[in-house]
Amino acid sequence: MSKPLSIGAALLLACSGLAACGGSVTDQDEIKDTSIARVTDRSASLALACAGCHSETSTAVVSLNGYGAEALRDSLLRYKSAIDGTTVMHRLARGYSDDDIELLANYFDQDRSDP
Amino acid sequence: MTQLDRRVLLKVMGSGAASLALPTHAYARSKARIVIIGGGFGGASAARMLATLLPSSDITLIDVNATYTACPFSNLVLGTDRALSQQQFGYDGVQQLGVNVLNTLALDVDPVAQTVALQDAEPVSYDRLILSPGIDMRWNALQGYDEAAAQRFPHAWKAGPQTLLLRRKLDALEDGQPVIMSVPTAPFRCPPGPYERASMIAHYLKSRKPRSKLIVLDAKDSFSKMDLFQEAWREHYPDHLEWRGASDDGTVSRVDAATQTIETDFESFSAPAINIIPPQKAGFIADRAGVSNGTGWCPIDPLAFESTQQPNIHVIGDATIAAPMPKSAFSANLQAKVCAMGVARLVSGLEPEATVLSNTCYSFTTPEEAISISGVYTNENRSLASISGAGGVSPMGAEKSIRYQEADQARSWFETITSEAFG
Repeated sequence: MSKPLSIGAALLLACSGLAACGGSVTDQDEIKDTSIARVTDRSASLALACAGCHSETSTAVVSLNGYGAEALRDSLLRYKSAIDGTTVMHRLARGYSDDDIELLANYFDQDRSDP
Repeated sequence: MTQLDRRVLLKVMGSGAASLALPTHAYARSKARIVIIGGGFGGASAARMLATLLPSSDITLIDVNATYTACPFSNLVLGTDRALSQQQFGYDGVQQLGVNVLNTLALDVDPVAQTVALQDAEPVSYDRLILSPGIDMRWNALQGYDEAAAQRFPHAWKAGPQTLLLRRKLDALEDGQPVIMSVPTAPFRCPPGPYERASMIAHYLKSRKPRSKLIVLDAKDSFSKMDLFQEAWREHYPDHLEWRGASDDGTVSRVDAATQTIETDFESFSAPAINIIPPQKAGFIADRAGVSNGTGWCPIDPLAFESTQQPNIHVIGDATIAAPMPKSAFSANLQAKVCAMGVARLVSGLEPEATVLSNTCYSFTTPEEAISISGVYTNENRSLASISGAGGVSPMGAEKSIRYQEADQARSWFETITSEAFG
């Protein structure tokens, strides 16, 4: 298979939590798995929808990699507030709170450092 | 996580062998047995997502076919030179993530014993079962339309041999002979699909059988992206497409394969190429599992798409009652991912959490032009609801460049969504 794996930027970034997830817990199911909590947090779940169109390699639909949180946030907020905006992104951005836009912008920011 | 780690990961995920580089994650300790029935956009996406989130788990994907034939873009196979092979995907990219793929028929589900009976294989047990069975036709719900009649009047609403059968009927048409399409009432797979198909068939006739015409007989008076489709039809197909709604005697009430005729209340039509899109329901395994209700579809709690009728069974995709989310490949893929995250949390001792979901469906009106509809939804309060003020359709009367851009976006979406599902 030569196609790149792209369960999307979302999953991609979800997996980025794994390095912080070592530890000595061996019990399987009964103990709350904090690493799963992390890779399935609100940011990660919000990003799932984006990954349906935006991939590492997509072109007509822009790849979100490398934009930086600030540019992504500003862009999404512009989409959200544009009065005459009719593109798919205008219509979608209006469904997200400013807080969720902030989460998404940080999530897709590949230069983000962990807290 | 350091920046270096992230870059390494990005690099890995961007390569073809990405999946193989994610094997030993401490974060996924669960050894849950998760079985997924149905390898379309929902099931394949769920399998890949779960395999990545829970690499220690035992994940099995069951589909009777070794090759999946995608419905999105299959209308272009009918109306243009697009090959059916461009619609087809295998499961190598699912297996590469460690998913056990079984190409056999799932015959039955025992929700108490938590087992799935298989044709020609031992039953499999599950801790969590995800059903993504797509649709089955409701044979004889339209009088006279049964499996045999579907060979005379192809539905082509599951892509594959039926798509090719309908295309052959178009190819065999003599210039001047009519084509007829019948569209049911909602709900059905892909709400704008019949009208994209009408556009593609009209395009085919305009370019290859210019004296022929498509008559669409619709059991509804309005439909998805109606104004936009009709704008395109006025522009492109004034002589090749006629649409009749329910109040204009558009509802087909009976078909007769033997005489190659179909009837509305007041009229009878005969044509060499007739496409019947019949009433539908959830794929049969949903009935066997006890997750469908009297509507034929499956009620779910949208937080993790768990059945409201059977514990530990989740249902995603076209089979669900998920309105206002449409029965689309985009919805199935996103529901699969939300479900996978929910299941990963549940088998890890965590509760699923609410999020924001969305959908975008592109439809081609010509081979080069497309229109779109979008929606944004919340699954808070255990129900799906549209977020007001969001969503909507492409602008009316837009410049051509907008239509061309949306066609480019549609093609890009198909690449992405099929990569997500099948690798």
